Amino acid sequence: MTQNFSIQGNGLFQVLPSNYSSTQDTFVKYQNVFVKDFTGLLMSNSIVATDDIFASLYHISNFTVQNADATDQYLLFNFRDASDIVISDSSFYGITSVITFLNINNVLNFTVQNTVISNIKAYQFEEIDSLYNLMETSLIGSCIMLADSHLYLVNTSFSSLDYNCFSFNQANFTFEGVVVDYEGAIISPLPAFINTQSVGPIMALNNVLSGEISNSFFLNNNQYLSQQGSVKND
Amino acid sequence: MYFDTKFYKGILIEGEDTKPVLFIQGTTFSGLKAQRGAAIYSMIPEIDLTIDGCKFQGNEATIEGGAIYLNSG
Repeated sequence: MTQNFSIQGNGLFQVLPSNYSSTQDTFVKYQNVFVKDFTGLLMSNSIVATDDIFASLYHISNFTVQNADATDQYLLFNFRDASDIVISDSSFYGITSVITFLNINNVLNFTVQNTVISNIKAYQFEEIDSLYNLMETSLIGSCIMLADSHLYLVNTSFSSLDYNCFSFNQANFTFEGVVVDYEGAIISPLPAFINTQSVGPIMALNNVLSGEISNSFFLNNNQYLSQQGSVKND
Repeated sequence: MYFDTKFYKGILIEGEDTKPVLFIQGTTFSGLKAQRGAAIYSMIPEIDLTIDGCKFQGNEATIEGGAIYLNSG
């Protein structure tokens, strides 16, 4: 399936292809995304979403979002099998994603620059097939999950995030002027029987190939839950 | 991927298949608190890690590695 289009302008937009079907697991849809001062969006091939609250993008090349604001939206960007994606001069805040805000998989060059990302609440339970697993498994929802890709993060700030900011697997990354500040982060209440969780590490790097961080700030990640499940401020 | 979030609060480096090359320059790690390796915690004995001109300020580990904890294997 191939979908080619371009959008310019402000407002709520939705794209549905002629062969849209809500019964399919994946379908081309881009919904409930408010774009402000939108100066350019060019996408080729398909946009794929799993339901109303996700905006997933597959097989994208030369994708650019500029000056985009998404406020109080349930939103997930999911990029796969793509190259040369740029998000610049944008802000994303007040967003709750049930999994991960920005999921990047097999993208040759993904760049986020001059962008503010704040108050993102991203949760993910993995392997919840028993109470035991629920207790033993971390919440690993991340603001950005990266796999088999190269992420360029430039002059971009993250604040008031729930849980870890970055989870990278088999990836390369380059950070320049990145600020991650957990000051004032509000930790979401968790079930009382989960006794080890809180904000995760700022960066969880698993089998990362290479990384370069320069002129950046990693600040104030100092909260964790006590064994009794309450937030402990140290 | 599993991590107990009390242990790692800055950069957690793990994996079995790679020898990561990390270069960190001019970066500030501040106000981080964990049980080990508040700013950087590496579980990989063989890591090519370069830290140049960075500031580690006000970080605290309750067990060890207030700023950096490197697992020597």
